[in-house]
Amino acid sequence: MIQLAVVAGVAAALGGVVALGARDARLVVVGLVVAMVASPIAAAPVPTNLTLAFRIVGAVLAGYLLWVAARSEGISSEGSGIGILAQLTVAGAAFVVGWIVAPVKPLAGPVAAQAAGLSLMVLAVAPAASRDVFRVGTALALMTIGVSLLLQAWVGPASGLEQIVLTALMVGFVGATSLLISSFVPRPANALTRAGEPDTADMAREVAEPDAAPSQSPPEPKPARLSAEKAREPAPARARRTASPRALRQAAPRAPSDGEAAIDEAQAIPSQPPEAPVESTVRRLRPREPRR
Amino acid sequence: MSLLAFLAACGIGAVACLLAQPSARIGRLAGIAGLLAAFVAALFIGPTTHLAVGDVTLSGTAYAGLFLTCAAGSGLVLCVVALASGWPDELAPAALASFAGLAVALTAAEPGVSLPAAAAATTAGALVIVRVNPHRPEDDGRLAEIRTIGLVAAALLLAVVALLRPVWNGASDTPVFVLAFLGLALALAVRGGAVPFHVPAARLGRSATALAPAVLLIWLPAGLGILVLSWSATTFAIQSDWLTAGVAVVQAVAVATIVLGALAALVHDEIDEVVAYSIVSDAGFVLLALAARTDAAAGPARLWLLAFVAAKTGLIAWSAAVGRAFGTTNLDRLQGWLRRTPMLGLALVAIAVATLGWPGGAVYQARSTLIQLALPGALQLLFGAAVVLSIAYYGRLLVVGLLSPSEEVWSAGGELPRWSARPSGAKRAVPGDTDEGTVIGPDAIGVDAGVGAVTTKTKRRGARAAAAAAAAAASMTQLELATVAETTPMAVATPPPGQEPSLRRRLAGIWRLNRTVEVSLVVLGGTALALALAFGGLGASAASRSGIPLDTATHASPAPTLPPTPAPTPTPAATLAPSPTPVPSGSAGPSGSAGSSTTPAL
Repeated sequence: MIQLAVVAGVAAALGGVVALGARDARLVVVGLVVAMVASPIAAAPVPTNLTLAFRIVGAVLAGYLLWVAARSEGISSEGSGIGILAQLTVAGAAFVVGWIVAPVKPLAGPVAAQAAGLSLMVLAVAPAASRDVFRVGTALALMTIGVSLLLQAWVGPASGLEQIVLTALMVGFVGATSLLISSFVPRPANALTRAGEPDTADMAREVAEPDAAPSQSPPEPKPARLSAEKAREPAPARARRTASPRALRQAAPRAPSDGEAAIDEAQAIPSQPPEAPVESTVRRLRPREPRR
Repeated sequence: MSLLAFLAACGIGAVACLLAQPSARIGRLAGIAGLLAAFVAALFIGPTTHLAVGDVTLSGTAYAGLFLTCAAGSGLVLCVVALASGWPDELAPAALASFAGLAVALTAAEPGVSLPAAAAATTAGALVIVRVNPHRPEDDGRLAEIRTIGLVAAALLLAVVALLRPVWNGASDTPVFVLAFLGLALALAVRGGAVPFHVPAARLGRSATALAPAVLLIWLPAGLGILVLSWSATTFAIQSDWLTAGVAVVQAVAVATIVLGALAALVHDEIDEVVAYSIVSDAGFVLLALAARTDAAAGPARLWLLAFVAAKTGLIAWSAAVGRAFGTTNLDRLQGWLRRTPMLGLALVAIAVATLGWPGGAVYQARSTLIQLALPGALQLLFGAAVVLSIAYYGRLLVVGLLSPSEEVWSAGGELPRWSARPSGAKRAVPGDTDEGTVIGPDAIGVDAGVGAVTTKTKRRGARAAAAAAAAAASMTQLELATVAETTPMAVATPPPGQEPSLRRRLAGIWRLNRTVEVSLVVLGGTALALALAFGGLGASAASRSGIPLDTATHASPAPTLPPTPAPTPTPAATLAPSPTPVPSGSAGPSGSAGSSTTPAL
């Protein structure tokens, strides 16, 4: 009869293969959740209901965080660099090696946990060196799951508090990944801006025009001083005046009331604004000699 | 009960901060309230504090309570400064989440709980990392941060495997201990930004929110350092050539971090980079304590970590206060800052004294002891070099502050109390003088922005107009320091024509006009805490000797023993080499292991 721990170990390894081999973010999340749910069952064949429920809730929460971030940003993974079959082969080979070798004798936990842990760790090594934050985060989360499986295979089943802490670690790790793949947070309005750095207006423009190359949207020359009239100018009008033509064209259909005015203003502004000299930002920030 | 209250304050506060982020005011309130509640709860954590979770009991100690109090208090000071200097929404939840993880880690007696809890605390650092500039990939700290978190988590979990000592199916388990030692040292070095992992730390000013180094370079590495020291004198005190080689690597990293970090702080011109390198340099002493592998180093290292947390958080608060007061963090533009803000100068001197100590002081002795125990005689001069380099970069900051004031410093308000709405620096801001090359100060921006604000009829409309004017003026000058809090006084303190302002409005206006001096006072208060800890006050000296529950647990468990190495043939060469002698159980005292630690390894 096939033991539950073996099934869970195989499921954890397969979940790792799917998470690291898929390009679609939904499949990545599904694979990660499967690995996280299967790992406590592989480590302790008969976990307590409370422990299992806590781990499942944690896995679902972590998967939800990652899914929300990936969906809202339209992020997809790089996928496997060697192909899904080759990755499956690597995972299978590592699983078999983990099943056969015995670095700890006697083994305190199921051998399936050791095999699944080694398989996940081997799978995660190469993607951890990637440049894609999403892929690196997924790989390192799987590596952490693998190490926790090895820990429980060699040392013994985790206590209740250990399970809580491990769940917190998993949720924290996947939550950190979801934060880092979705983080585009402009600095607060009163943050300091140093020479050579774009200001928050540039970053807001970048949000409005994610596809635009930097050279196509040079910073607009700014007025020397904001007059009192412009200071009292309503915010929507000021936004229309300062927004780029592309952003205005995109915003025009969504706002029927202001659409015509926006399009008129967009046509009035040349599509290719004159390029500002590169050193203008630096010159603007260069301190003037103190007055004597 | 107090531990449960601390965990609840941290957990609920962090979640409330994150949920309330759309509302800036509620988010700030939740953050400050959570830190305040955590600070008060931490005051009551002591040796009698226990919290049973299933079959595991979390136990407080005097040191754990003092460390958590110090961390929460430092976080509170920093957040109060951030209220004036620019509130980063992610700072308070990151601080609270990391404090909750560290609280579990510092009060658990099992490595299987404490190290994963510390790893979970490390994940909170991702909250303060932002992609501030998509066009400059070198400023994108996301990849470095996720790798740091993954590396720390994997290293700590692998260390748990070694520290729990399963029955390895081999002749010797020495390689496992060497790997565990190196894993813990690697986790500490990477998280603390030690050389050669210092590049992400130096770029935190661009890749993370403001004040993020407090979380990433101070609180989390300090908590990790306390945990790592628990095994230094017991588990890793074994005699092994491989372990000696690993210790030599850690010694080299520590020496390079202390020297090169201080040198980098000396040559950089941006204050946030100076602060980051200063923190990195001083964090090298924790690596020295790990390399010492003796109980004699544990107490000084714990005391040093307390002073490190308070003093370096004070340094970050100081840099934020300077940046807020003068609108720049570049030392070339900050000439004369000390003349305008003498209280901040006093705070900087206090921070330097709290970091370096005074001959005879507790921190001075702690740093000296760590170097004596961790390094061979030839490298003892590192202590003097570290002190000289630190004095050099602190002195450079002070000398720059004594020079003739620059334009930015002149135009800033300074710490002089102001009782009217017109700031003194406004006299130097000539209207129409904002052409290229001019950077005007925050007060001048406030005056210009207030032009459109004071003509409005009501306070509410005036505040809105002032806010809009301030935002536009800030984006125009790229200085972006004119906060609503600074421009609002112009509207609040100036009554509508023909109406006398009420006392409440006048006081509120005066309160907001004197933000600089208020922030300076808060920074000064934080440095006073650091000074007290640096001289062993507030019970720091006594608490540092007690340690955390993990120390007691590791000393109670038998020390690892190595199998006797059979000598096949008694040759003269064999007699020259010191034969590995197992450390007797329970003899992990200073005398028993100091010899191994002071063996020249470099």
